[in-house]
Amino acid sequence: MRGQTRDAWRWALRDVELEVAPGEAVGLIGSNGSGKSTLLKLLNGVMYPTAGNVRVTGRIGSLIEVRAGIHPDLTGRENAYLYGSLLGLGRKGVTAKLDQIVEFAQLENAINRQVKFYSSGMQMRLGFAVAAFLEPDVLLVDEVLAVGDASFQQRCLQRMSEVHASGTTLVLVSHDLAAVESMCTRVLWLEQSYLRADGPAREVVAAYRHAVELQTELEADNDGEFRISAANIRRVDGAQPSTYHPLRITFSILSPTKQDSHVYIGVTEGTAPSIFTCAAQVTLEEGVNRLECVVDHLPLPRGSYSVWACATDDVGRFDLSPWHPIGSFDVMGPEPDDLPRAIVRLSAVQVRSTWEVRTPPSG
Amino acid sequence: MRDLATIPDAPPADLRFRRGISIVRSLREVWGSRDLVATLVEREFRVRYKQAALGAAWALAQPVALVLAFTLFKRGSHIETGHVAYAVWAFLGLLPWSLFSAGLSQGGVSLLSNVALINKVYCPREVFPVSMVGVACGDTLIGVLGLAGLMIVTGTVPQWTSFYLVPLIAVQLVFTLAATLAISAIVVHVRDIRHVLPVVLPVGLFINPIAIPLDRLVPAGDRVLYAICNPLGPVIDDYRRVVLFGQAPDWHLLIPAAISAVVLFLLATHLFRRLEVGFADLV
Repeated sequence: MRGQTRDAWRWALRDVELEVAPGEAVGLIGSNGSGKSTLLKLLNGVMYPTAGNVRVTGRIGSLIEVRAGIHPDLTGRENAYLYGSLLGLGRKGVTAKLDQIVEFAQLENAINRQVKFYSSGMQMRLGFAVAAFLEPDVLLVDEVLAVGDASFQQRCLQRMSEVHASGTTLVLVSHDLAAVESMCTRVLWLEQSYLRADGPAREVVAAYRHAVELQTELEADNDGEFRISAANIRRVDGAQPSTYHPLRITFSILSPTKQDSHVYIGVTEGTAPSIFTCAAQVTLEEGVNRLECVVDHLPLPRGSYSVWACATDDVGRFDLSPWHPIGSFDVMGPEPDDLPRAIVRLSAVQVRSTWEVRTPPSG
Repeated sequence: MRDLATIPDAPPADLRFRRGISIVRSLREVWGSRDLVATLVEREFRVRYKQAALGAAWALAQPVALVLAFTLFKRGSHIETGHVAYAVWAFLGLLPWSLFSAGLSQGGVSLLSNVALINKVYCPREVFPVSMVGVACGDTLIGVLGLAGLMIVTGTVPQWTSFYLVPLIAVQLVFTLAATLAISAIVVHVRDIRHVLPVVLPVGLFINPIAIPLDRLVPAGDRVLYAICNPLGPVIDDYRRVVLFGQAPDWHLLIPAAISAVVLFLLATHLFRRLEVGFADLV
C-alpha cells in the first residue's frame, strides 16, 4: 500500500490490520497525510494495496468528494441520475427516490438548472443527497462535512445516524472530533501510515486530542530553549495502561539546534529513583521532535506511577535537560490475590514467569 | 500496533497483492453496470450537443466530407462498383471505420478524462471506454440515417442479404471494444500513446478497403493473414457485399477475422484488468 513515484516513494499505510463488524460505526482520525483517505480508497476498491488484502462484503456506497462526478453542463436532475448510477443505485432507483433526494438537498427550484449555475454548497448538497439515499451495506464517508452550512451539516449527521440505525456499516473520516465521537462507537487513529490506536471512540479521541495538544503546546511555547514536553502515556491500542500489555510513552523535545543526544526516561513510583529506565541515542532536528517509546510488556503491578526524563549531549557529559517528571499514569492489572498478598503487593515489578517443577521420582 | 523495528521494509512475497483476474467475472461486472454505461453515453451526447445549434447533425460532417474527398480524388483511377453509385459504396465502407476510429480515439483517453471519477468512486473501469464506444455507435446511427438518405437519392435498394449484417456488426463491435479497452489501459501507463493516436489513426483509412476495394488493396494470397491482423478489413468489404450486391459474406475471410477479434477481445479484457491495479495511482 504505497504511493509511488519513480525514485521517491513512501508507504501510505503499513502494518494495518483490522476487522470491522457489520453494523459498526467506525471513525478514522489522524493528522493530514496519515493515510486515512488511502485506507478509505482501499476499502472502496478505487485503489489496490501493494501488499496485503482488503475484503469488503456487501454493497459499498461512498461519499468521497461529492463533486467528483458532477458535470457542470448537465442539470441537477441529469447529474443525480449520473451520480446514482455511478454509486450503483441504477436509473430506476434514482427515479424512485428523486423527490426525496431533491427535498433533502433543498434544490426544489434548481433541479432543472445546469449545475454550473449552482453554488458550491448546492453541488455538495446534491452529491450528498444522492449518496445518502443509496442504502448501501457499507457507507464510506470522507470529510464531506467540511463544505455546507451548519444546518446542512447537522442534517447530514442526522441522516448518517439514520442510515447507520437501519443496519449500515459506517466508516467515517473526519477532523471534526466531536462529530466522530458522537457518530462512532469505535475509532481508529492513524498516524504516519501506522495504526496508532484502535478502541472505543471516547478513549481514542481523548488520546488523540491529548497528543495534538502536547504538540501544539510546545510549538506555541517555542522560546529557543531545549525542553521536553509532558508525556502521553497509553497502552499501544489506546486504552489505559495495564500490566503485561505494551505501553507507549509519547513526548516531544524542542531542540534549538540539530544535535545528537541521549534521551533517558524512567518509570518511578513518584520519586526520582526509577523502577526501570529506557534510553535511546537520537539525532534531534531543530524544532519539535516527537519521540515514542514502546515498552513491550509493562512489568508493573497495579498502581500509580510517574515518568521522568532527561537528555544529555551525545557524549553524555552535558545535561541538556535535567531529570524531571513529565507525566504520570495509572496501571490497571490483575488483583494480586495470591496467598502472601502483602508481599506481592509490595514488589516493585510484576513479571510473567513459567515454572517447571521436577519432583523426585516417587517410590 | 507492533514494534516498528519488527516490521520489514519490504513485504514478504506471499503478502504481495495479486489480483485474481477472471474474464467471466469482469464481463459480468460490466454487464451489471449497463445502467451506468447508458447514463455515461447519455451524458456524453447531452454535453456534446447541448450548445451546438445543429446538434447531432454534426456527426454527419466527417463522413460526408471524407466521401466528397474520395469522390473528387478517385477521378482518373477506375473503381468498379457495379450498379451502385461510388458515393454510396464509399459511405457504407466509411461508417464502420468511423465507428472504430471514433471509439478508439475517444475511448482511448476516456480513463484520463474521467480521472475525477476513477479516483473517487468504484465502478468497473471498463465502463468508460465501453461507453465511449457506445457514443461512437450513436454517431454511427446518425451516419446510417445519412446513408439511408443518400441511398434514396441515388435510388439504391438494400439487398435481401442484409440480414447478414448481424454477424458483421458483432465482429466489428468485438474488435472495436478490444482495441479501445487495450489502448485505454495502456494510455494510462504510457501517456505518449495519447499523442501517437491522432497521428496513427488516419493511416487506417488507407489500410482498410474504404476508398478502394479489398481486392485492389491486398493481393489474393495475403488476404487471410490480413483478415487476422485487421478483422475490420474483411468486415468492411462484407458490408458492401451483403447490403449493396446481394452476396453472402466472404466466409473464408470473415471466420478468421471473427476468431481473431474474439481472441483479441479476451486478451484486451485481461490486459485491462491487469493494468487496472495501478490506475488510481497513475491517473
